[in-house]
Amino acid sequence: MALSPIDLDALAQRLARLDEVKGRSLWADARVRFGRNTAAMAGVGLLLVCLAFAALGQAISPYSYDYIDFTIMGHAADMGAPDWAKGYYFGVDDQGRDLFARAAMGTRISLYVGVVGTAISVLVGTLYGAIAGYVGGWIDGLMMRLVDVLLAIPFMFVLILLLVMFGKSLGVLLVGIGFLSWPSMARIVRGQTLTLKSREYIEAAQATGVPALRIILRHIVPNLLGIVIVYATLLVPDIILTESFISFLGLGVQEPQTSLGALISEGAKTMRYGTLWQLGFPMLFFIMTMFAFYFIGDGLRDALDPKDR
Amino acid sequence: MTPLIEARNLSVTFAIRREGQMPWAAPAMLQAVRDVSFVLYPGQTLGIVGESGSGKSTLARALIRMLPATGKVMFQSTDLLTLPPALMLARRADIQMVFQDPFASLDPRMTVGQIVAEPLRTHYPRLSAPEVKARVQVMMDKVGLLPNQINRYPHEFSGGQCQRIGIARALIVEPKVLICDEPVSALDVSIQAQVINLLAELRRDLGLAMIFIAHDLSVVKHISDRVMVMYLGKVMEDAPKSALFAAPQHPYTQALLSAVPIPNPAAERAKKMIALDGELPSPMAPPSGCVFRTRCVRAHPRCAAEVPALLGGSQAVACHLPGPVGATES
Repeated sequence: MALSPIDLDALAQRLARLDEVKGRSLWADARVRFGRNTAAMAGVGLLLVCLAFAALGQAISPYSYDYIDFTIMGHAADMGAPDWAKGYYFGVDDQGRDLFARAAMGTRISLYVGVVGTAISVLVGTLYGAIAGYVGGWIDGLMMRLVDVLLAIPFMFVLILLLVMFGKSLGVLLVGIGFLSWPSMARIVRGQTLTLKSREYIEAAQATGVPALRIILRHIVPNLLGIVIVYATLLVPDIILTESFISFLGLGVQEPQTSLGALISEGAKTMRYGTLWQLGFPMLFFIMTMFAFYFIGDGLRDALDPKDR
Repeated sequence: MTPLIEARNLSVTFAIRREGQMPWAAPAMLQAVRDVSFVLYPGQTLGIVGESGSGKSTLARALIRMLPATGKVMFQSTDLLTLPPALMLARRADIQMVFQDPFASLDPRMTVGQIVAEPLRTHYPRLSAPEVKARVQVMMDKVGLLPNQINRYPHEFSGGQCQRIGIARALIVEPKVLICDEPVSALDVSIQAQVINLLAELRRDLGLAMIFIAHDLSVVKHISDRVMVMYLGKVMEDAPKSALFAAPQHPYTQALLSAVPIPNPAAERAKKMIALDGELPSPMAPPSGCVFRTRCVRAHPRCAAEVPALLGGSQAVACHLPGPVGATES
């Protein structure tokens, strides 16, 4: 591609004026590689669909997620099938509530739990792991043994106990999942910190006298971020799965609120009456979310670590 | 003239714990640097040479307290090794370091501007952002980088340019001493010359004292005033450059010098090589007496029995049988 004479003129002028050249960061390179990854972009598309559904679903539906249609209540099998004319796009459930609005509600809560739970775990795990790895010595030993102990405790069991003790609420569930899933994050981050610690640029910073906390925040964490982001995108579906399992057991989100897990649980119970839409639609969004996050995570790993392919 | 930096009996010992060893068992001791003393005057350059594993880099790191060491490092008549951490922090601006690997010593996620500004922000936190930027640009210009490249990232530069960034980072806080740990061994020969000339130029303009570590004698010859030869953590010979290259006294120095290729085929063929046998002994179990005796052409029963002291005035030699080549070959 040849530059037109006008472009060349502008270029010459820019060079003559010594304008600051814009650098191309490793992040920018990674963005380009990610954009070229078809599967990952499909994942982003799927995720956008799910997000749009979660955000707008209730506004689109003529019914609220807790509105009960008493004419259908109890007759879901004969009268509750999806009906576009009445506005029941996904059909209704056993209690006569609109499944479209409920599925939107469920997707919203599941995504919310997944993202917030991951955020808590990433924040705690990254700082904990980076500090343990950077400080080293007996402090590192102590901090990592604590992580080993936490990992040895059956996670689901503690979560169920927490929900029973502090009441079944979304808040307890979020905090419980977030604080119970950070140890494995801390381990990954610590391992990576150990390899980063011996790099010469860290040594250079130490030699000039940059304080330890600044080295961790300005040098270690940005260089860890690639791995942390990849792990976080793979943690989101894990946490959604956990939440769904807890809701499936009936301990998670409480009625009339709902989550995808709770909806699937209900759908599974009523499957034998032939109301398959009650299982199918929540399941569809559940699978879409899972796929989206796994594809994005995979794409991010390829994009952020081009050497490792 | 008062010395700027003076090392006295500096030693660095690492405790090595073998795999499967019980935590209470005594660890093996590895003495990487043993009783090294030297003096560096303002504006002078001390070259340190020696093969891999001779403790050159360890010595450099011990000088700026990156490794625990015993002995004394006098900097402007204060001992750096016993200085409280807060005061040491202020001194760090006076002694800066340039590293071996130009790519590994720059944070890949930071722009050149951020990298060069870091020491400045650490030691002068009150400087305003435009002030910092202006100083960074002046420094970049000084080391031969275009100031408009300030927003670029290290991976967009070549090795020689990256080393220039490293030099800019070291010099921005106006240090008195620059420690160069093999600054050119990772670069192409043509680029090596550029970087060395840059360092020599900056030394002259800024009145820097330098400690220049290398394993290439021709590089050291070009830039140093004094040269210190190390072997297995000990100083073998410490002499003014001209004396060391003209009349080396220690058999190890002679062997090193004979290995320098001469860019003239006739002279190169006529040259007498002193080939050293064997490998560097393990620093975990150094030879008794003189550490070099296992590979020395002049080795003598006394060498195994007695550690030779570093003796002599301006040309100090640690050898029982010093002398010019061929003097006392057994």
